[in-house]
Amino acid sequence: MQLPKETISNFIENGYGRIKNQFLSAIEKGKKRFIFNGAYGTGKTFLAKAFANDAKLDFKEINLYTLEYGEEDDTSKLFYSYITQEAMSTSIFSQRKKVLYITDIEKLIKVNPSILKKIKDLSDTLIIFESHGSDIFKADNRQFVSDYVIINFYKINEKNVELYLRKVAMMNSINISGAKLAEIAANSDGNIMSAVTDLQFYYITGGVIPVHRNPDSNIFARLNAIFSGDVSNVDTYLSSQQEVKVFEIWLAEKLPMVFEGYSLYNAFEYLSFSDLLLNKIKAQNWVFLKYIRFLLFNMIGSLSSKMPVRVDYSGPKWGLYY
Amino acid sequence: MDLWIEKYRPNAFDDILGQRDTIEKLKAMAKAGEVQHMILSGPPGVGKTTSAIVLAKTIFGDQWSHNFIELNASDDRKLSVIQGKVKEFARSKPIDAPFKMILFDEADSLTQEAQQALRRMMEEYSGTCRFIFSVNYQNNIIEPIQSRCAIFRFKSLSEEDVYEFIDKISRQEGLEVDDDAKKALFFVSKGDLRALTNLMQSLSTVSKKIEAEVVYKSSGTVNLERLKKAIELALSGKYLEAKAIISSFIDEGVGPKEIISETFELITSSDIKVDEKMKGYIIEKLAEAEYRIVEGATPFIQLQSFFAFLSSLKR
Repeated sequence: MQLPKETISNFIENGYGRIKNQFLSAIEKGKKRFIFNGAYGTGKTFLAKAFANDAKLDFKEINLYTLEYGEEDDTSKLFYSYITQEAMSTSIFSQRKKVLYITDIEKLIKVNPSILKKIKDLSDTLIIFESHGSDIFKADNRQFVSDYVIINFYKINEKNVELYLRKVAMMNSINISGAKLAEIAANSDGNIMSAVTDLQFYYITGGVIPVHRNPDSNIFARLNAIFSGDVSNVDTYLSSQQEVKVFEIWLAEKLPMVFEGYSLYNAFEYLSFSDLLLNKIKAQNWVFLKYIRFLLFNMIGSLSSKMPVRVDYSGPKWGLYY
Repeated sequence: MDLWIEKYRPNAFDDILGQRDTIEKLKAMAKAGEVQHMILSGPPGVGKTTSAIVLAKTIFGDQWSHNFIELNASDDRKLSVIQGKVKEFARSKPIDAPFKMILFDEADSLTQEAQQALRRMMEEYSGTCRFIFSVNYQNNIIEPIQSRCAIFRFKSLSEEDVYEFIDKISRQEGLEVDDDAKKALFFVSKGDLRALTNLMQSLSTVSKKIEAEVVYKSSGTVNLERLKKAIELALSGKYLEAKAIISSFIDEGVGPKEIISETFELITSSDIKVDEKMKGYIIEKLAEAEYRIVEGATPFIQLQSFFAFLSSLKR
């Protein structure tokens, strides 16, 4: 499947070119060091590539995790010399300047953040780091990133994802209805990469709608089952921490509409304990999901005896909870 | 003697039990002869690995074993393996096929660093290689890999599916399994067909007739009847008698985790009569006990404290 070429004009963002302008004007002022910070699939790599393409520069992507080294090697020295080498060298075929795109600033900060400072005046090469967490904003690291222009990327909204998908669909002459495009876009959770993968799935299989990425599609069925006290007929397999969290927030929002008094208190007790357990799930301790599942579905379900008159199924106000 | 898990591993999509929706999607992909990176997620023993192998066989035909490797948890999961073995396989050209496939079985145990390295490799070698991750929990895979993968979700198997499978094996192997034994096999295996097949094979060497009692006895190491008695004793306030039974389990070498998970099964089932309202608190306590054990507390003390809590419920 063909995707739009990486050019500045094809870059998508919410609003009117804020990210693009911030980046381009910083370049105009002669800045050479950047940090692109934001969630996955929001166009960070795309913008870097697009700039390289438009300005006819060489583009080189580096992943520090793929760098091979032994147990005794001094990783800090190794990273420094590797980045230096990449930044100084140019291809023998083209004497063009280079855009160096390093995908893991977190790793670098963990090893030795002062490398960031050391490479600040290295060469004419444009160096862009990709960042996903809040590591770069920590007080300890502030001095090291002070010479870098930090550009924040935000999750792409559904409308823009849909527009992008439509463009891709037209380029590849995929025949897909607007409703299905919207469904894929809604499913992507603002991650363009997910949306493109899903569209590709649709394209390959000749029209099969992919699975929902965040498996909360049967959220209403589950809520109904709990509120009517009959959970035996609904699939209660929880596949991820994220899914439980989302479901808990829904429950917290809807419980007061169904229960009152002592039952409400009990339901919240169960909910809060399962939330506590959820936070205890670290890397491999997934056994706890079975407790959470039992508390959320069976126990809260057992408190309810009849379906309430009306439950308002509009989504929780997310902003208030995070 | 053949291992039954290999003997009864399905060879075609239609033989895979219980996953109709997911299998339809995989079939559509196989039919197009084009495969994306994939995440297969679901509980153990429901057909994830099997589906991946069937997909490889369908796409590659006779050459499938050259173009497909499976890395399971026994292989080293450190960064160095990803950099060495995986890279070596991924960068070489496929034989008589448009691409190769790597299956990471039980990918939940891939370290974060290894996954970060894979992320780049998946892009770099997307021309020659497809990565397939088989996981119990989708979120053990980092987001940038998730977004590059098509996701397939496998459901836990229903009672009917498991019975169908038991029937199939017992027909071919000439076993005699009555309804009670079937129920026992389903309960013990918890819908995990791999565990089920292994259990049936080991039972079949003893006798051609499989009985419920034998299943319970040989499967779990915990004797459910005795455990049930211990819980009931504790609930009626007789802590010391309950403790004696728990101690005897420990003496027999039963793992504390086993005891806890079976206690969970018993309490959540309707076998034990507890006040519904109380049940929630018992489960909370049990979860807390298990958490403490996982975190490194002494299992025997935690178990005793849980049973002491049970006996305190009797006023």
